[in-house]
Amino acid sequence: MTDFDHFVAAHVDELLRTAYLIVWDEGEAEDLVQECLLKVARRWPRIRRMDHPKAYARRILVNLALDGARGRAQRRGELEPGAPPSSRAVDPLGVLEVRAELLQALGELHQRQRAVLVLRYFNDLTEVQVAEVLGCSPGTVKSSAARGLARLREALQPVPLHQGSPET
Amino acid sequence: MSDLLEQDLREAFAERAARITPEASARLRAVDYHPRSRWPASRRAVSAVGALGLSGGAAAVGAAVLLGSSAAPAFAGWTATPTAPQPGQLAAIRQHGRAGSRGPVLTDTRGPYAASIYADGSTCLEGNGVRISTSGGGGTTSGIPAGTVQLNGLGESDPEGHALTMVDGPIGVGVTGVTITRSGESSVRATVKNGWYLAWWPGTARAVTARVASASGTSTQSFPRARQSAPPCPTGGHCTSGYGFGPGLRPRSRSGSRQPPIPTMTIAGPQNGQ
Repeated sequence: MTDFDHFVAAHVDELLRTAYLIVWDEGEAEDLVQECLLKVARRWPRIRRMDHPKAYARRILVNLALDGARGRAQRRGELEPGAPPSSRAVDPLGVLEVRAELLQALGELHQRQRAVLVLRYFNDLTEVQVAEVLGCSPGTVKSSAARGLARLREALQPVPLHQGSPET
Repeated sequence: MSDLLEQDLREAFAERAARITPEASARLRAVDYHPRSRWPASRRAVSAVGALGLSGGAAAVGAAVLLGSSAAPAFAGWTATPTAPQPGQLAAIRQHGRAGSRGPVLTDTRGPYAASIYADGSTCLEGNGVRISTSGGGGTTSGIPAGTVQLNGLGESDPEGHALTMVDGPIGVGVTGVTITRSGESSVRATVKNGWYLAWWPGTARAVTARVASASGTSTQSFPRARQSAPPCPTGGHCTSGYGFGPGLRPRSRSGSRQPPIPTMTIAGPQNGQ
């Protein structure tokens, strides 16, 4: 195996998960990671000498995802719907229900906003590191994350009983 | 509140990420990210495409590239996602398409270019002074498994460096969308209609996979990496190089110039199917 093959083996899963959480579609995510790794392969002689090749690959990936966001948004109707909660187990505390609502709210965020949250809370990057990936200032990351969290919080607010369900 | 939400968020992301199928990761590990040069460097713009051999088929096997003097370089205005037809665009390609045919089963429009495919797998592309026609390979289009597509392809180029790659084929039941990933380039969305799909792009980027969307989800079909040797250029006229892959591929037939004012580029193509 070449050192590039080792790089792919070590990081493809994380890149795929990151892409999946940003674009919210497995097929699109797979395409993006493949495209990202092709770009990395072409520049590998230079990238392999970097301190953090994975960070560079992630930056390519996120930019590819966000560059194509508009086209994907137009095709949103064709994408597979979000999967239901993975378990139908007894849920006395409503944990699964809240999780499902949170995932649904995440899926409805703007892609760039979701990317900020993914990088912050899935990849565990600092605001400075997220800013480097996205090519913006840490302040922009902070405000974008705050807006994203606010939208999620709003979506998770309990619906007043007197409003009833949409079906009635 | 924020700490709780952030914790929920981490758990939600982890749960969502765990839904990725192992096959997706395995496919990505299996990709060769260092495609070797398929051509001597001295050869000019030659494209190659691949196909997955499924039963039966209607591969495109013959081509004539007609490039007028007004042909826009590098297919200016081409788009990776199909666009709505411009006024007169569909009528123009019907007029210049196959004489006596019953009309195309599908027409894909990308900016100023329209590409049609006919029931026998032959195709016609026109726009911005470029006109390309290919003859079909015949065969059946039945028996395509549900949720999959038949992968046929054709790559063409001429001495002036106008190169394009086209993939097309019949689709199985339930297919709603097809996206082609290319080597080193962004994805191209195919037009899907009337049991067929078609996508094309300028240049020689190799088709890597077809992401096929259907009611039951999405799947990936991979184009084989094998290539066929190009036969010698045919005598006479300009020599254009091309490849075709696909079920039912037969020796290339050559269509004559239907537009005498436009020089015909004859094609040197594959002699046999895979």
